[in-house]
Amino acid sequence: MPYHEFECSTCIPERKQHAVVKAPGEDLTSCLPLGYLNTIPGSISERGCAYCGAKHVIGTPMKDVIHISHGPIGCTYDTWQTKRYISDNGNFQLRYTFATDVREKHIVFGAEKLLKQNIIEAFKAHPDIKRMTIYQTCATALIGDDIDAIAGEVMEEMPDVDIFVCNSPGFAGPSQSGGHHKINIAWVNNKVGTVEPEITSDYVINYVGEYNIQGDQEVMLDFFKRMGIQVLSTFTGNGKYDDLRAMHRAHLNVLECARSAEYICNELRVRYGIPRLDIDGFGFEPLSASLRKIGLFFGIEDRAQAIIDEETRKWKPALDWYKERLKGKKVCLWPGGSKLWHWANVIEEEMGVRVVSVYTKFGHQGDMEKGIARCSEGALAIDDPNELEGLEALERLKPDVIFTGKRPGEVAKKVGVPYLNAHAYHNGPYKGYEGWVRFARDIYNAIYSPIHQLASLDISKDPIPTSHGFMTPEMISDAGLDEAVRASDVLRPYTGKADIITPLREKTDYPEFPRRQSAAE
Amino acid sequence: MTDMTKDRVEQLIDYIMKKCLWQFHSRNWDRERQNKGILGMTTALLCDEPVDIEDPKERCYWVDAVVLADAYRTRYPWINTLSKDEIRELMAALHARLDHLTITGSLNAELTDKNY
Amino acid sequence: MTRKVAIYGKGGIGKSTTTQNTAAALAYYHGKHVFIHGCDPKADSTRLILGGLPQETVMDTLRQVGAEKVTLDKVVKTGFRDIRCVESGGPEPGVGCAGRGVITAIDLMEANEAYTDDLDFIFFDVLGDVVCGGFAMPIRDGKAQEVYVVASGEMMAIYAANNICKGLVKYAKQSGVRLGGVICNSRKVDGEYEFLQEFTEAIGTKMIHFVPRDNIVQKAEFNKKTVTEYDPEANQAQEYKTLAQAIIDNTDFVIPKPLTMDALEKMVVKYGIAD
Repeated sequence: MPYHEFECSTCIPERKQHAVVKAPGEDLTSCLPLGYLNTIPGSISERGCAYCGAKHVIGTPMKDVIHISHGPIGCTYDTWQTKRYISDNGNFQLRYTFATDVREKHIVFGAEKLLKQNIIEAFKAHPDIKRMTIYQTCATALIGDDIDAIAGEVMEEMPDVDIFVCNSPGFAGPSQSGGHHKINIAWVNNKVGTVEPEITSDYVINYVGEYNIQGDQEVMLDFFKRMGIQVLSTFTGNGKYDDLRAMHRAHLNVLECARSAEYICNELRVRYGIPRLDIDGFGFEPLSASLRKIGLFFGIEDRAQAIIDEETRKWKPALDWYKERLKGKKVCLWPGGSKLWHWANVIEEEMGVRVVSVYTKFGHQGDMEKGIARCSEGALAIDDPNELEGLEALERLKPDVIFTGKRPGEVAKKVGVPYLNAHAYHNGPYKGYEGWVRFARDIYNAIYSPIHQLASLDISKDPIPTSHGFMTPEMISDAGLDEAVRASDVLRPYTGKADIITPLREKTDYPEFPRRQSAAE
Repeated sequence: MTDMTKDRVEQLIDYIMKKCLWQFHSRNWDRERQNKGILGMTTALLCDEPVDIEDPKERCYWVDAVVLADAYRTRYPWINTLSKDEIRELMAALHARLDHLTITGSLNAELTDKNY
Repeated sequence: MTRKVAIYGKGGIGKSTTTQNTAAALAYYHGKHVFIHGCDPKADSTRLILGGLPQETVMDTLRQVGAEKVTLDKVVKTGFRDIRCVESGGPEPGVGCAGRGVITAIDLMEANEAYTDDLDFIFFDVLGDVVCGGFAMPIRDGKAQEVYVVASGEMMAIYAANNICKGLVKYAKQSGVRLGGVICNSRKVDGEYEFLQEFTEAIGTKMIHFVPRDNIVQKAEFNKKTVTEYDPEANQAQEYKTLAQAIIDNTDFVIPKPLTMDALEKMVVKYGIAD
């Protein structure tokens, strides 16, 4: 096994089995780190907890819901508003967060009364919102508060409300991934099948594992609408609570982030016979293949092809403008769980960069299988890294940019490596064709920003150049380009607006497709 | 297996590994079903044989198979020169190799979990 | 110097009765200043000293007025022979976390400097077994330095005593807590004295006193009094006087060596109590 031992981790020998180099001749039967294990003592993990995984990642993107944490106030604050899963209802789920604010006395005497009072007050404060999700936390799990019973009482007293209880306290798993699992299973067990939807199309899907980061879901929804597909529910970005109760009526589950949501797709397949189709919404070729597959499934491949042709024609020249300028740039692809495999191959193919390392904070070995399968030879793959290992890898690999979360990202900046936010994005959306170009633009801006000319100087001792100005991004990026590329009248940089989502929300001119006679009856 | 077949299988594997996701479902029995279903359909498509896609589950294999077969024909033009028997033989070798990489030889300790 | 004493033992063995009677004897016969801190959510550790006065508990007070407003005059009551009493209190059965209540109440008492230097003895009367970290609180952080386990010759009482010793061993090193001995609160079972003698010897301690069974204890309880207060001349009052003296004179503080399940079973069989 081609394990990689970090110098900084020689004092934690168990860490050695958590990093591998994909050397020539290695394949998945010889090259796979351990994964989804409890963090090794001594290694300051970058992971979150199972409560965070359930609430912050999966629960809260649901938009028409009061999300309340039953526990001390910090749990809800620390899972609030740090991920940009916007919604088309004024971002209700981002603007408000609720906690029962459990104190010492509630721990000793039980906090059920407090919970009930909070539920009722929250519903009264937001009379338009009739749905609620309650998240268990460590403290209230330990004292054994019966949240289900309280939710049941309230639902009896207030018949127009519906409440979902998520029992995933912070300690319920090695990482946030434990919480993804718990909320998936809880939802399918308790809520799926409790609402019967209105079916308006012959082609009905659930869009699963999609969290509408900066509008990703709305971009994809636009494609589905253009194909005449009814998206019954989105699990969970920009998703509606009651839509998600009707998931059992879809013909197909289209799955993006398998890491966080494969469980519900698997259960829906086993219990309701709905097939699971894994797709990639990132990158021209993977997205085109994905749209085509969905089109094929319903026998409307031509509608998919029309979108693929139109979008590619429109955006490929911009993508290629960036590709020419990003060629050979070294990338550390260090996301949480799924983007290491969503992006590993396609950013090399379509943006010309080279992925020198992949890592996953909370992924399972299955994610590493996908990531290692997709990345190129020589890449360093790390499971559940710690900050020192990250720094050592940056030192050794000298990447031009890293894609990661905001905490390791800020660390990278300190050693002069630009970072892009892989979880919440910089100037997303990144899904869709235009979105993918926006990602390329963000990478370009990160690498070539004039700020590095100043940021890398130590003003306490380095001479500060005053005789000339800073070089612009284009002066740097175009210096080594062929004249033919530089002067190309086909290639062009991205000039889209900052907000491309609002126009989508206002869009109404979707084609109407007649329904099949037999189905409509 | 001849060196040429081996080399060709590796090319086809490389495409699956880099571009597909269906081979990485989370449990052994899932992977067996996926590999068999999709590669079986792909073989039929490459051999211009009819496929039964009435059942939604089969249809779901088929859509992955259509995209895979198209990619093979475009990216690896040599595949168009093979006879049906040669394709079947090649695809059988590919199936065996993929099962080895993702199931029997896999180091993924979660594949044998009883539950999802 | 104040001696801080924790009393543990199987539920229903007579911890509170023994604690209060011993405290009363220490105060009455030996002139000691005593403080009793009841650590049982039932809050029944001080009624014999206070003549049945219901005492507002620390946790009730905290719940009603908040932690910052818990003051000694609200929660500390003085009873027989100036024995000061406080009850931690806690939740109704089945809700919340009584263990956390014990921790919080002791912290609050310390913050309010309830355990003054003039005290000779502080007794922590702790609910039953060391079921979780909260109920181990009195023997952590050097809060109590010596522990007495109340037991009888009944099998389950011995099991519990052995278990408590396991908890004690865990904290002995970090907090310095030691076992002072086992108080036998007799149930008049066969071979009780010998069994306790052998058990205490085996775990490396001693039976500090054998308190015989006497109905006067119950009679005094009906009158909301300790035996000492009810009838200082009674035989049983003299027994508590002797126990009090033994505690005063005690210098044998040990880290116990709890028995394995096997060894314990063998001992139980030997005394024929298993049948």
